[in-house]
Amino acid sequence: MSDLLLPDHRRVPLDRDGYLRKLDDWSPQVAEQLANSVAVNMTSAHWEIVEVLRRFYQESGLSPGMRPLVKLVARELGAEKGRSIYLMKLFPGNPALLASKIAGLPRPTNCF
Amino acid sequence: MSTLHIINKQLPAQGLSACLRVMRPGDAILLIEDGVYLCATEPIAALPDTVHCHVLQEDLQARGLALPVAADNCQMVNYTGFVTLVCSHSRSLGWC
Amino acid sequence: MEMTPKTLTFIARSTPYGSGRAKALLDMVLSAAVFDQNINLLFMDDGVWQLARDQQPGMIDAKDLSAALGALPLYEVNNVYVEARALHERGLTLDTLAVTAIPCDDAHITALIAQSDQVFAL
Repeated sequence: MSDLLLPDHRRVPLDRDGYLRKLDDWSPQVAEQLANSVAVNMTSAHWEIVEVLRRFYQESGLSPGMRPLVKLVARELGAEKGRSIYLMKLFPGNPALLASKIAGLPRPTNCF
Repeated sequence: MSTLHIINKQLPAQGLSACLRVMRPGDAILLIEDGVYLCATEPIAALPDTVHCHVLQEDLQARGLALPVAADNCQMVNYTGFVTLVCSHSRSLGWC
Repeated sequence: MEMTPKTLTFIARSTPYGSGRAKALLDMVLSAAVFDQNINLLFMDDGVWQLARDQQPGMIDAKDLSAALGALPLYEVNNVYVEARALHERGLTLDTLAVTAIPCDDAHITALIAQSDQVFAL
């Protein structure tokens, strides 16, 4: 895959799966654009997941797959949100892949 | 229940000693690749009788080595023997 | 597809940054965890260096392996063991490790291996 084109015409390089090549390229604006590319409409509920993911990545260097993501969200945001059904509604299809993409993390390696 | 411990390197300080420390009676050792040097340099012959040591013939001969005469509990196997060993143990553990 | 979970024991025996082995083993552990298996992670020999506190791998542009180990509970990897002898030989103690681990002697390690369906050492 090629670049992500931002509204101000800047280009951000992506890998072939559409993930940021450089984590430093991330900004809320980039996140909006990445969300667009996977047909996700960002709301405050989405942002708080993205923030949890970014914090986790800073601490551990890991992009969590589905199960650890659910546990992580439960730990950080409470049991009500730490459920796959909740994450599926926010990021339909594959929450772990979509959310980590929007958060600017590498593709979860052990996520199928 | 037994484990086949496979050693493929000359790991003088760690490899063999770590393996020997955690072996149990009935387990076997298989020396392959550069692990075969261990039967020339390490006291394989001093292993307890309960431990059988196998050496891959191809790797041994390729390096110009032979089994030490004194090593009673040490025997050569070919590739077929390698497979038989793996199949006859519950698990294999490579100390690479 | 329902399968009986297996007991997989991973033995970490390599220093954290001298090669790709430590990282490769951690990736194996995390991948296996996704498949709902019973996982034991044992740090042995030089592998105990992976548990040293205050690692600053950013200094050599490497990822912090011990930080990733801190996330193991999220991956349901709760059986983390360390070879007591290896700690002692290297001047490390249980209370100065980056993660909590259960100390093991040789007999304990022998039993862990014997109880496992598969064992990987790296």
